[in-house]
Parts: sequence; structure tokens; C-alpha cells
Amino acid sequence: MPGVDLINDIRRLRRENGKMTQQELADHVQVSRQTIIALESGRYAPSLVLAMRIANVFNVGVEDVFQLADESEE
Amino acid sequence: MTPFEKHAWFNLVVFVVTLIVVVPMLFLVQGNWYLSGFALLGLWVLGPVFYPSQSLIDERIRAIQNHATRIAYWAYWVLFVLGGLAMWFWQYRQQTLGPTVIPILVLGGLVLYVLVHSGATIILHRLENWYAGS
Repeated sequence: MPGVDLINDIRRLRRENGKMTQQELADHVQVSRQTIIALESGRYAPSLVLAMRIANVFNVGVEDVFQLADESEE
Repeated sequence: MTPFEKHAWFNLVVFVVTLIVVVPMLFLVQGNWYLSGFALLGLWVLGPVFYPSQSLIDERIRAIQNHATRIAYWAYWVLFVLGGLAMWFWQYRQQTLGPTVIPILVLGGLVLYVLVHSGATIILHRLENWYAGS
């Protein structure tokens, strides 16, 4: 899978939520830890369902977790 | 290791074992009976064993698997077309193709499909995990 034009704040949100580990987040949203790693490194763009599940874990909106790369530069 | 990777390794091991059995039979068995050794490939039917109900297969793993499937299907189609052309050039003087041509193409292509799919599955998973830095 090529790199994607979607950036995210998952790493920051994990730290702000009691230093949640990648494995703990993976367990919450029912994916593998490797998938969380791929998401944080920008190697994988999640489905809408997974994006919403991650946002729900942190009690924020999807747009607070994920942003298009070109929009964040503006 | 994901269930897909375990399944892929199993397929490759079965193929290697089959070759280890078939090659000596080429010299030890009369006639075409060495072909019976390929029956060991029937062990591939045990693939579902690697997918217990509680196994974690998320959307990213499925995406990698879809990529491996596309690569394997491409390889199968190329072999089928090139194999068909080669058979035609080889046997065109006979005006008709022998009855074994199509089964060989289909079975050979199927074996190729499984091998390419297994190899691509292992390589793609390793690559993705390496890129992600895990």
C-alpha cells in the first residue's frame, strides 16, 4: 500500500489519554497492533468505520483525528 | 503472524514436500506413475484450519490479501495465455490440440496461482510491517 495523503493525531491522542499503548487502542477498535502502527506512520488510510471507532475511543470527532494533508497545510 | 501468512507458509511447505516425493519417483517408478505424487497437493484443502473463528483479520490485513490475490491472478492469466500460445505453436501441425492440453494449463495455472499467492502474501505482509517500522 502506498503512502496516503491523510495525516492523523493518533499518537498525540494516545499520549493525552493516559499514555494508552498501541495494543490497547488496537484492542478497543478490534484491529491488530500492526494496523495502528501503519496508521500512525501514515502508511494506511482507514475505512470510515475504523476512523469513527478510533475517534469514539478518544471522544473526539473524526476530523479531530484525521485530516487531509493539503488541508492541514493551509 | 497472521492466519494468511501461516496458510501461505503451509502451502509452500506442501509444495516443497511434493517435489521431494515426486522427483525421486521420476527415476524409481515406471511409466507416468510419478504423477501420482502430485496428489500430495491435495493437502492444500486443509487451508481453513488456519482460520479459527477467534482469529483477528482486520481491514488492513484484508487489503494486503487483496493485493496478493491480484498479483496471483495476473500471474495465472499470463501463464494461461502464454501457455495456450506455446501449446498452439508446438502442436499446430497436428491441426488439433491434444486432450491433455487444457487440463495441464488449468492445473498448472492453479498450482502457479497458489504458489504466487502464497509468496506474495508472505512478502507483502513483511514489507508492510517493515515500512510501518514494527
